[in-house]
Parts: sequence; structure tokens; C-alpha cells
Amino acid sequence: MNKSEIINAVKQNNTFELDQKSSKDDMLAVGAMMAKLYSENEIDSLSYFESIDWVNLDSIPQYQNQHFLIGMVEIIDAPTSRLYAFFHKLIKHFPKSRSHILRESFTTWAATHPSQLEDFSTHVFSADFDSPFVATLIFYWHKLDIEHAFKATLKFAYDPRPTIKKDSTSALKFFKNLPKNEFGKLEKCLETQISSDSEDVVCSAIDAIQTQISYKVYNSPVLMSSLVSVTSTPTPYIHSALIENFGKLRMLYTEELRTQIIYLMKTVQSGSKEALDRTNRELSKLDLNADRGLILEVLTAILTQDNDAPRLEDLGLITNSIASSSASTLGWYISRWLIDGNYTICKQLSSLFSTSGSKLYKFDIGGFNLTERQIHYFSRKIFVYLFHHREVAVSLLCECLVNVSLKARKVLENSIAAFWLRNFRGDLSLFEKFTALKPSRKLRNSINRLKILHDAYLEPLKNSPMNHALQPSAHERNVQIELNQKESQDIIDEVKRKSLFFSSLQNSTVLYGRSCVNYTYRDDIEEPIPMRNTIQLGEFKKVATLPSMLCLCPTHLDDLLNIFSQERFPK
Amino acid sequence: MKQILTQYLSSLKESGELDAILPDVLRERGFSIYSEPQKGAKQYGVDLAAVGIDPKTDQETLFLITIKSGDLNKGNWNSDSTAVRQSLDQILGTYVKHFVPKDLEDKPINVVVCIGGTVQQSVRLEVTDFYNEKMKTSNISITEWNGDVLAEMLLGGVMSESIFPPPFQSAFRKTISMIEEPDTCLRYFRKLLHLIYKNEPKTAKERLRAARQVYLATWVVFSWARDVQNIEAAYRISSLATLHLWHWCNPMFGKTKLKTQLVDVMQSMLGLETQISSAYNDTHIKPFASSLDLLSESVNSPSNVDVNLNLFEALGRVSLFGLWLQCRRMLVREDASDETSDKLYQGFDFEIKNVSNLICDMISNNLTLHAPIRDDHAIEITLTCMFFELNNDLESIRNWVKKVTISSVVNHETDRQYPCIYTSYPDLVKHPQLVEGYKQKATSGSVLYPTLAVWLAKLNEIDTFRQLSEFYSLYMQHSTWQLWEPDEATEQNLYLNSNIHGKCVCNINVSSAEQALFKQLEDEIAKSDDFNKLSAIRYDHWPIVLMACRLFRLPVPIHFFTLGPQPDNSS
Repeated sequence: MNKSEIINAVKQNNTFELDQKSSKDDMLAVGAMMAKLYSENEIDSLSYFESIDWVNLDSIPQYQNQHFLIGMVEIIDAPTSRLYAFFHKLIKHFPKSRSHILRESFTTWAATHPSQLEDFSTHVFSADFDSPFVATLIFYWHKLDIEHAFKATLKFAYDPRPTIKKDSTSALKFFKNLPKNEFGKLEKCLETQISSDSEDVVCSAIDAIQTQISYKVYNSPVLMSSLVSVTSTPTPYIHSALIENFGKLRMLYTEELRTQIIYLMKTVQSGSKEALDRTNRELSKLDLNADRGLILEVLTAILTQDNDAPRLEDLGLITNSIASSSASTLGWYISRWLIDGNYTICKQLSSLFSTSGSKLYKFDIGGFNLTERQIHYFSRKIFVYLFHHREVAVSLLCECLVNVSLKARKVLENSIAAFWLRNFRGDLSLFEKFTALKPSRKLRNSINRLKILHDAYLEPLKNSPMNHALQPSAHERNVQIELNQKESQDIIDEVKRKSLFFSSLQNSTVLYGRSCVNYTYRDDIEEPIPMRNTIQLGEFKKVATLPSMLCLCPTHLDDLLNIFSQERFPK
Repeated sequence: MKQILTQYLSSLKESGELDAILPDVLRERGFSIYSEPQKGAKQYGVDLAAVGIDPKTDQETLFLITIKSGDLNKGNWNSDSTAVRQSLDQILGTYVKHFVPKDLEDKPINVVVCIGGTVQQSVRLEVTDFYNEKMKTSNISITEWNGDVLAEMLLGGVMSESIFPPPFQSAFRKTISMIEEPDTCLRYFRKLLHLIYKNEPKTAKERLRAARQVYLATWVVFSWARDVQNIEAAYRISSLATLHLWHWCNPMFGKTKLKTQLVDVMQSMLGLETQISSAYNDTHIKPFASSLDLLSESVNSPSNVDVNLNLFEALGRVSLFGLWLQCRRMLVREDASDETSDKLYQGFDFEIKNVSNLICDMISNNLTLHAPIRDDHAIEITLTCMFFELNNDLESIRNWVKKVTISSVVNHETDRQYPCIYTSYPDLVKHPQLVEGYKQKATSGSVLYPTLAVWLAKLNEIDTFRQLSEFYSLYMQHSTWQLWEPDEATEQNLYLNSNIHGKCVCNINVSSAEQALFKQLEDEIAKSDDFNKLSAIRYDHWPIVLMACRLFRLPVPIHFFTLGPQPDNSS
């Protein structure tokens, strides 16, 4: 688009746009041209943008004009008063979902016109309406003139206009190397703001205090006690703000503050999504090994709350961190929880393992210094809580075997054969694989004895003739098949019903082939461009071995699992 | 049909099979038997002696028959004292000279070599030479009845005209061909029974003929079932056949020739039923019972419902077999010599001990037997308990009765597979459901819990009895706890399950002490005499009542609970 086209369009008050193939740089260049034409008094580019009906503008011209705007403000030479009015007028007319674009424009202008910022602040002070640009203003201003910027920020902080108050309180975090007396003013200001009635202002103050603490310039008991003062009965929003940065700052906090924030993390409930996410994030920033005591303590407390306790899977970041950590780290957490034997947590341990792609782990339980009786107890917790994670269970059971005396080991072997191998007959091979992973003479001997025990059980089962008389009739088999089919269909229907993915897609039934080529079309462009996709077809089913006792004596199995789960840790 | 019969005949064993069926075949051909096969008694080569018309001479002839199963070969022609040649020597040398009854001395004699199969070529010459030589030196003729001849006799002389007239043959053929599909096989056998008894035989002669037809048909089924190593169809058929025979024969038991023959055929049927039960145990239970889980595993189904149903079915059958043994032991003739009765008692005691061990193995190695799914598994539990009570060995099942009680109660409380009143397979497979009102409906009545209460009381298991009583108060007030007793219509309907009959004894008192329960039962028994009027009870064949109860799913009458010791009042 050339200069004359721009001039014509602006003069005719038409919203203009570029070719669809234009790049972002092309759009920024048009903006720059508009700034130049404004300086040359050819056109009033600012009025052009003010006159656009942003809300009703189609997506492509809206996108292009936003970039024209950014390109223009970067180099525009206009009086501050005009720009003050321009930005505040635009913010009223911009679609809310796109207001960040305007803020980005303002940031571009502030970064490129720092000398006008003080003047801009004067206009903010003198106006009687709120402004969303104060934080950006202070950020760029304090880089240029910390003294005046700080003074203005304090003044803004006491301003009654909520956005200005909130943003300027938060902006106090920008002032890192203040002189001692100025820092005192900052402390006082934040101490005042944190006791504000406005939740937003309190959160901004918390943010500023946390940042100031992180600078480690001054040791400030005032700021610490300010934070402590809001930890007693915080609103969910404040609760969440207090937890923020705990991972980074906890060593800088006073003991009292640390204890209080840990308490807040422990009491986070599943209804408080934001606080839960913050806790999850902060825990995941901790060192899984060095801070394992703290992580375990917090997670245990969170999961075992009486009311509205989150589930382990709700804490995805820390759960994934533990799940993907080394065998020794993962083993420590699982073992610790199993030893504690808390039903609520132990039954969620499966969140730490994927059912597919399970593997054997080189765990180490030696560090727990368990007595032989306690190891037997531990093995029964493995039976019950790792019932569906056989590789993990076998890895831990092998650890149990090598950590007891020969006499106790034989008892344990009997119990493994009677329960585990009776349920999962092929798992002896997992024990054998484990010896290759972590060779041990003790374990080798143990597995040989396990094999003898298991063979004694299995031999009659393998060698028995067919027992035709006891087998279900054709009618009974048909009933079973129909029921299984109905259950599978019910599950699929339920998944489809609940799944957004399924509801938003049209189903295709692929009868042949092992992959599928399909075309999608971009529908926001006049001439749809076909996009070719190749989808490899996989087998979408999970195969899990059912424990034998589930069929042979399900209630007995249930009873055993109940007994094992209720067993208390032997002191 | 002939081919089926020839094969069937060649597959029969000599003792108890070929020699058991032949008298009936000959009787149907108009022969009169004067000496039947006996175990242990010296017969001088003659297994069966009968008088009838020889078709070759048209003269009334004395037939002295020696029986050998399968083919005649070198091994059984001339090897030891039991070989055919030696038998013929004994007949011709001793029997003919000294043991032919005086009133038959003037009849021509035909010595018959009866074999299930054929004479093998390797001995044919030798056998024919022997016959010719013997016939030359005496005026006795020697005839061979091989499998083909026997089949001809069955088909031409007996099967088509007397036992299986053309309308029956189709049902019979289908029964045989479906031997490996017990449900279908039973359906055709029912049809056969229906055809045989369609015209309701009135006279003793008619009933005798029908009884023999049923008996022979059962024999054929058993022989084929044994060949395919699946006794299931034969077991079911023999129970049904026994009850049919009892229903039609017992009203005419008496001392006239025909009525005695009715008694005989009934005894043969009971003998066959025992033989089939024994074969069922030997083939389908014993080889699987002594190893942990083996019997359950042999059900070869992924459904625990199949395992549970089949094992309780098996338990009921084995227990009933044991009860038959005990009944027979009780019926040892009082006028038998001490030596004979001692031998018989020893034999029965040995077999009873084996059954007792078998049941103990089944129970201890298959934990599904501790958790009945069907409320009417009360029948199997009662049969088992009765067997041990008559054996003065209730102690052996003390723990089992306790465990069944506790698991039933706990399963109910925890919504696991608790006993329910449903009997249809599709209902049981879907049990338990968690929909509202289901549980109350599924447990709206119970014979299981009162039955357990009776046995707990007999075992003096006061604590568990109290637990059951408490369970009733807390969870089962909606349920009608009941037992059952016969009424005046029972005799007419029990054996064929032809119509509804009997009385339900409600409000079983388990809420107070166990003595109250016994008092209630004793009072009820005193007021109800219909039980003692049942023909099976009058003729001391009480297991027939139990057989009907088991087959037609009727609770065992309360009168059987009075057998054995009462609870110890002093404790």
C-alpha cells in the first residue's frame, strides 16, 4: 500500500486493509508510514484509529489495524496530552479480548518515548478517571528516573482510583536499589496497602513484597510481618497469591512466615483451583530429593484433608515430576506413602505410574531401616496398593526379599507365592527379569524357591485334563458375550457423551488400511486451502491382566485386600 | 440306529454293564430269566441263564450265556480262568451236568457266547473248531451273539417295537447326538420321557415297559457320555429318569410278579444312577479336587459367576451321592449274615470316607464355595451338612458353615456378590446392581440365612448365630426368612415337578436364642405329617426327596433338619 492510498483511505474515513498475504512487517511498515504522515500533517492517523469500530471489525482487518497501530506508536511524534487522550479513548472502544494489543501498543510507545512519561503521569494525576497504563508507565519511567518515578508511584498508590492504586502498588516491586530512607517509605506504603479492603490491592502488595524480598537488598521484618498479617484467614485469591513464589523465597522467609505459608499450601482444597495450581507449581519448583520431606509433608496433608481434598492427579506438575524422577526418588516417595499406609493416599498411587509402558525399577528401601516385621507389613501394602502396577510391585517386592534374613525371606516368599503369583501367574518372569536388572545372589535363590512354590501350585492346573462337565453351557457363554458387548458399548457411549472431542468431531469409520489420509479446509478464507493429514491408526485398547482370584474367589480377594489395607504399621 | 447301538454295545464293560442290560433285553423278547449275573458268586461260566424260544428251532430252549465285553481276541479267548474258552469248558463240564434246575432238564440247551464286539480273525479258526468239536460230542448247540446280533435284537425285537417305537426314535437319536451339549441333550431326553409317558401308563405291565425303556435309554446315554469323557448329560438325565421312574413305579410296588419286577427295575435305575454319580465324581471332581483352585479353574470361564454356580452344583451332587451311600448303608438287610453285613458296612464306610474327604478338599481348595451367590444354594449347603451330620462329623464343616455365614453377611453389607433370590443366569451375571431398590428386591426372601442359622445352632456356633440374628435386625427386616415343608400335594408333584406344592414356613425365629429356632421347627414338624406320607420316605429311600429338591430347586424339607444331634443346652 503506498502513501497516496493511505492518505486517500484515511481522508475518506475508510478502514483499509492490506492483501491477505501481507506479512507482519508489511503491516508495521504501514503503521510507520502513518506516523510519518501524521508528523507531516498529511493525515490525522490518531483520529483514524479512534474512529474505527473495533468491536465490529472483521477479524482480518482488525488484526491488520492492530499492527498498523503498533507500527505507528513506535515512532509517532505527538504531544503527550494528545496521546494520553488517544490511548484512553481507544481502551474504551477496544474489544476486551483484544485489550492486550492496546497495552502492547502502549508498552511500545512507552519504551520508545521515555521522555514523555513524566508528562503522561501528570495527565493521569490530573484526570478524574482510571487508567490501565500506570504499571507500564512506571516500569519504563523508573529506568530513566528512579527518584521521580518512585515518588509518583507512592502518590499513585494512595490514589483512590482502583486500577491505578492496584497497579502502582504492584509497581513498587520495580524499585530495587532504593536508598534506606526511601525503602522505609516503600515498606510503610506496602504495610498500608496490604491491609486494604480491596483484594486486588492486597494481592498487588503481596506481589511487590515478595519481589522486594527476593532482591535481598534489605532484611525487612516489616515486609515479613506484613505478609504474616494476611495469612490467617485469606480469601482464595489472597491464599493463592501468598503461595506464589514460595519455592524461590522460602529460604528468605522468616520461620513464622514459612510455617504459615506451608500451612496454607497444606490446606488448599480442590474447590480453590487457583490456589491448588499455585501450590502444585510451587511444589514442583522444589528439589524432589533435597526437599522431599517438605514435599511429602505438604502433599500428604493436602490429600488427606477431611473436606474437599484434592486428588493426586489434580496436582499434575508435582505428580509428573515425581513420576518421571529417578527410580530412587520415585521409590522413596512410593515407599514412604506405603509405609505410612494411609488408605486415601495409597489408593491414588497409580497416578504415579502409567498403566502402559510399565517397567521394572531399581528401588532401594534400605534407607528406611525397616524391621523384618515392618517389611512384611510393607509387602502387604504393595500387594494391595500396587495391585495393578505389577512391574512396580515386583520391583519393590524384590527389594523386600533382599532386605530380610533368610528365615523371614522364606516366609515372605510363601506369601508372595500364595498371593501375588497365584493372582498373576506369569509374574515369576518379572522377578527373573529383575535379577538381571539388579543382580543379587540372595534374590536369585529366593526366586528359585519361589519357582518351586509356584510350580507346585501351577503344575496340577497345567496338567489337568479338560473338565467338560463344569464348563459353562453355550447359552451361558452367549449371555456373557452379550453382556460384555453391551458393557463395552455402554462405556463407548458414555465416553462419547462426556467427551468434547467426540462431540465436536464427525465420526469416520475406517474399514481398511492401517493409516488414514484426510483433508481439512481452512474455512476462514474465501477459497479454502485443502490441508492433507495422515493419521496413523493405532489399536485403542488397553490390555490389563486380570488377577486370577477375581474369577476364582472374588470376595475372598476383596477380603484379603481389605485386610491388607487396614493393617497398621507395626511399631 | 443300528450302528449307534453296535458301537454302544461294543463299548460296554462286561461287569455291571453288558451283563446288566442283557437281562432286560431278553425279558423284552419274552425270555424268562432264572439266573442273573452276581458278583462274587461262583457261576461255572454262566453269567446269565434264561428260558425262551430259540428262533432256529422254534422250541423252548435253555440259554446259558457267558458274557464278554468288547471283541473276542487271543487274550480273552484262552488265557486264564476267566477267558471264554475256560468258561465254556466250565459250562459244558460242570454247569450242564450239575446245576440245571430239574424242571428244565428236558429242555434243549443253547450255550451262548455273548460279546459286545466281534470275534477277531486271529482267533476265529480256533473258536469255530472248538464250537464244532464240542457240538459233535454233545447234543448242545453253541451260538455266538456278537454286537451286531445284540443290536439286531435291540432294534428288531426290542428297541423299535417295545422300547422305542418310531415316534420315540427321533428324540432318542437327538438325545444321543447332543451328548456334549448337556442342555440340548436334556431337552430331547425330556421329550423322550414325555413321549414314553404321554399316555400315562395305568397297569403295572405298561409301567414296567416304560420303566425299562427309560432305564435302557439312560444306559445308552451314559455309555456315550463316558466315551466323550463328559458325564454331565448322563448325570442330569439319570436324575430326571430316576425321579420319573419313582413317580410312575412306586404306587405299584408289591409282591406280584409284575410288581416285583417294577421294584427290580427301580432298583436297577437307582443302581445306574449311583454308577453315573460315581462316574461323574471320578471324571469331573476327584481329579480336580485335591489341588488348590484346580476345580474352579477347570470351569474355564473368565466369569466368577460361572465358577460359583458350577462349584455349588458340583458340591450338591457329591453330597447327594454321599447321602445315597449313607441311605444304602442304613438299608443293609437286617437278616444278612454278620459276615456279609460287616463286609457291606466296611465297603460303604470306605466309600463314605472317600466322599467326605472329597467334599473337604473341594471346600478347602475352592474359596468360591465360601460365598454363595444364589439364595437357593441353601439346598447344596444343607445336603453337605446333612452328609457330615449323618457321618457324625459336623466338626469337619464347622469353619465352612461359619465362613459361608460371615461372607454372606459381609458381602451383603458391602454390596459385593451377596446371595440373591434370582435363579436365571442373565440375572445372576448382572448381580449385584447398584440401582435403587434392587438390593431389597434381590433379598426380599431367603432360605439361605435360616438354613445357616439351623446349622450354626446345631454346631453350637453361638457367636455367629448371634451375628446372623443381628444382621437380620439391621439389614434384613424387609426379607421373608423362610424354610419349606411338603404338603398333601407334594407326593403327587415332587418327583416330576409337575405343579406347585408344599408349604413355606415363614417368620423363622433367629432373633432370640437358637433353642427357640429348634422349638419352632419341632413344633412345625409335629403339626405337619405330609412329609412322612411321601413314598420315598415310606420306602426308606429318602435321598429321592433330596434328589428332587436339588434338581427342581426346592428347599430341603425342615423334617431333615431333625436328623442328628441337637445343640448342647448346657453350654
